[in-house]
Amino acid sequence: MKHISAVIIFFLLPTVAYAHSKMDATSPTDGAVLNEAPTEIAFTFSGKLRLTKVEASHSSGGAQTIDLSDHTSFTNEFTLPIDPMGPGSYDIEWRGLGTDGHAMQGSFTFNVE
Amino acid sequence: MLDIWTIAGLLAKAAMYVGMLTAGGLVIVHCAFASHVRDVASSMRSMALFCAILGAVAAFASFTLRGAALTGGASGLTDPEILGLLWQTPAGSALLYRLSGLGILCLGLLVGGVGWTVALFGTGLLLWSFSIIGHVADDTAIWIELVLFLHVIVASFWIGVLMPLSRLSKRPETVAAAGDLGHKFGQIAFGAIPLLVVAGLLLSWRLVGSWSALFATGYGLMLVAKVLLVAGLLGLGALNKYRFVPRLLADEPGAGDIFRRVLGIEWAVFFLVFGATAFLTAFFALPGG
Repeated sequence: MKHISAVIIFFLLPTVAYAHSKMDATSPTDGAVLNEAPTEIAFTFSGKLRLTKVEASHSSGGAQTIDLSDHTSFTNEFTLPIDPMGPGSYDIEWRGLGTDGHAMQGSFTFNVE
Repeated sequence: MLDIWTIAGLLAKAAMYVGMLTAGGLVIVHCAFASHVRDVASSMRSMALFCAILGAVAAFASFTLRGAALTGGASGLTDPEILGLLWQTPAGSALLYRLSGLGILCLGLLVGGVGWTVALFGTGLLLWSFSIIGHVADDTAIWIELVLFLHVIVASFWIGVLMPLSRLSKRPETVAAAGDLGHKFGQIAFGAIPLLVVAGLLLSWRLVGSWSALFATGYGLMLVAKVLLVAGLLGLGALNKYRFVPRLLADEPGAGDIFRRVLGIEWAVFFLVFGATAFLTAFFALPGG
């Protein structure tokens, strides 16, 4: 047990703590019904993260991968361009990395009349 | 939301827990009870090496699978940008601690003799890795990380005693040694296991925050499931301490066989606990998190 105590004492070192993130809001909001297809979408997270993939799929079968090349840092807010795909249902799926190392993912939908 | 990469990541994580905690536990048990486990030290070393390699492979797989989860495809397994990004987070630090710890542990085991103490140092490194990643690392209080470290040490110690107990109770000439080891472990466990439980409860309270969240969230319910499994383990441990170990010490016929069956059940429950823990740390979000 002497060895165990020595190891415990050795590791009494401070560790940097990180915060989790969750999606606070999106634009358009989840389930929104719009008159016109948006040209950009936005995410707001409670903590900083780095988006690694965002895909938009449309009820017509169309899909597009959103360009993230301008977003290479950890931040709370993202505004991303999207090519309008006409009336129908849009499903936005995102994946991201939290500063705590957690891989996160989520989705939201909206409709265009 | 459970895609193939998330499921693969959970399996890798569970395998990592099995490998790391068993390897570390065998080292702790050998250092704590060297004279009692002399007859099985060689097989303990082989098993610890095997588990260390399993832990290292699973830790690496868990890391790269996290990369795949970030891209939603196999490309993330080897994507240098994604893996580089991941490396800069606590996931990278934890992998570094784990691989370093397991490397030192293996080196110590290969040296033998005083090398067991070196292996114990490696065990400390790899067990500390649990405190620098996951929900607990999100907490700003250092004491919570130390509590988790203590929790993991005791759990590892418990897992580590199962294999030598099982081996010793298998042969008639070492059954008495199994009883003796079980008795000594029981004496330490009498103080250490409550620490494991108290540490677990403290962590639960700190992470979940309220009784209502415990029963109203996925994280809370999974935690309850884990607590029930651990309660089962405590029951089995108590059975061993008060019923089966005394039978071993009294050299009762067939005592070794029954004892090994109970140890086998303990192993199975530990696997379930590892699975539940992998789920808790990888899939569920903290209530309010």
